[in-house]
Amino acid sequence: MISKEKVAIITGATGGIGFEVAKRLGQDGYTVILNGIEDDAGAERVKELSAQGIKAEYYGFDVTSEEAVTSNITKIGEKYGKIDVLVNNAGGLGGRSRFEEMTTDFYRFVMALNLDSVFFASRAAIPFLKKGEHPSIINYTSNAGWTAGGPGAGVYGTSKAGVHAITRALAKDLAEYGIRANAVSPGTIDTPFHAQIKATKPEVFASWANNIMLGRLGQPEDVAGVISFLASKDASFITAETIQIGGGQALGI
Amino acid sequence: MSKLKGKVAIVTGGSRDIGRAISIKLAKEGAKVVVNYFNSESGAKKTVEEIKSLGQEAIAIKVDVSNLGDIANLKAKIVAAFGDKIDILVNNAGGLFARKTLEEFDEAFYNLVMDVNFKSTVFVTQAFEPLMGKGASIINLSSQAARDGGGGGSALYSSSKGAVSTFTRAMAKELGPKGIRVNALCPGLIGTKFHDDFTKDEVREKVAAGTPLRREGNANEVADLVAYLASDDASFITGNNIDINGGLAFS
Repeated sequence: MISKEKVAIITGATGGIGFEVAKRLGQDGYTVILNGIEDDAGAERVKELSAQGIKAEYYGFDVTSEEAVTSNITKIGEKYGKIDVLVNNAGGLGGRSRFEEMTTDFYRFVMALNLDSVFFASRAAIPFLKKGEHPSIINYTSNAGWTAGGPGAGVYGTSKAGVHAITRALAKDLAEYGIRANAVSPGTIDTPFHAQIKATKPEVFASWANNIMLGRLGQPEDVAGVISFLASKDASFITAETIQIGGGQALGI
Repeated sequence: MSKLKGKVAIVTGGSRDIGRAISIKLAKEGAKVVVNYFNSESGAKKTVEEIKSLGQEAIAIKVDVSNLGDIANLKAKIVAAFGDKIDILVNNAGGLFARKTLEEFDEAFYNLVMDVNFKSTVFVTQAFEPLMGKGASIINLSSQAARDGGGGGSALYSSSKGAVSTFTRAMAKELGPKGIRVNALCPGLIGTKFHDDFTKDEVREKVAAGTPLRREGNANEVADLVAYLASDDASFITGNNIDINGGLAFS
């Protein structure tokens, strides 16, 4: 049976941008499925959303594990009979390493976290997205996909360039089913991603706003607002597109 | 739906096709709308009537937005009607006029195309920017043609839209510190009178078939994107040229 609810899956949703996206889609009327690897945090987040009247569930699995992603996404799809939106939010820098010292394990981990995860989750979701309403996949690329990232972030940049291309490839491949695929490219967003520099060099962190046209760092809500739009019927002719959310940062000042 | 409640919006060329859809959509989201037009008085009247039937305010003002004296008149009339605070400016007016190759066009045609598409965007922005502040949004209509050079005989049109895309980025930098966001959108093949007039049916069918979503877009879909960019949900988006083409650009 196909659920009458709108169903959104957000990977990596126990903190930072992912949780804000889950909250926003919940406010938009979706039943939100949060994924993460910290089960306690996941339970807390579901409680927090439930208290706001949002229907939320948590599924703990590692997005780099093909088996875990496939079985969990399939379980979710079968439970609701469809998936309307898949937000491939999980990802990360994984650490900084220069190529000369880089281990193959590190390389594979960063690629798996940012790129394999998109492939695994999207592939598993396709049969259920086909039954969704104005269904879409939303991925995260990064300015690092163009610039190849800061010091030691070369693999991160490489993986995000891959996300840029797989987004377009998914858009082409799935268009015949009416499934759209788009990406967002957040600039500097004030999240735990930057916690270390915020704590150790607060003046450097604050100065980043000087390189942003709007004169401030982005907030997780800024990203959630874009994803809410891309998931909606109002974006029904937008596919294969990447939207920059950087307050103009990508253009330089 | 009231994402734009109480805001004042100007839509140049707002009487027909995409401009009309934008005017109505912004009104549906709660904005008061200035429907600028030049050729289509009946279209402007119809658009204003439709907005009023939704219980929203709108006025139609006829001026040529490629003429600086006319822009000054437009400004005076808007200030008299809605006050001196503008929240949303949609530089939509524009046109192809005719398909002419390098061998065919002359200086007068060059001036016409550049003036209506680019000069209008520049000087309407210059006129209204002083009335805009933090949270305001300027949205320019560029085109897929700015990305790919356009279809046959549209070199001047596509170049004028390329100028619009670049002007958009420059204004995002210049006006960002005031909290004004400036973005453009690049529509692909949208089913409108524009293509009824200038594009052969077989070309349209071929392009639609080659578009990943296998169809033309419609004016309402472009209007939805404009309303989104004007809203606070887009509060960190500036300097962007957003494609709306059903995936066409990469097919």
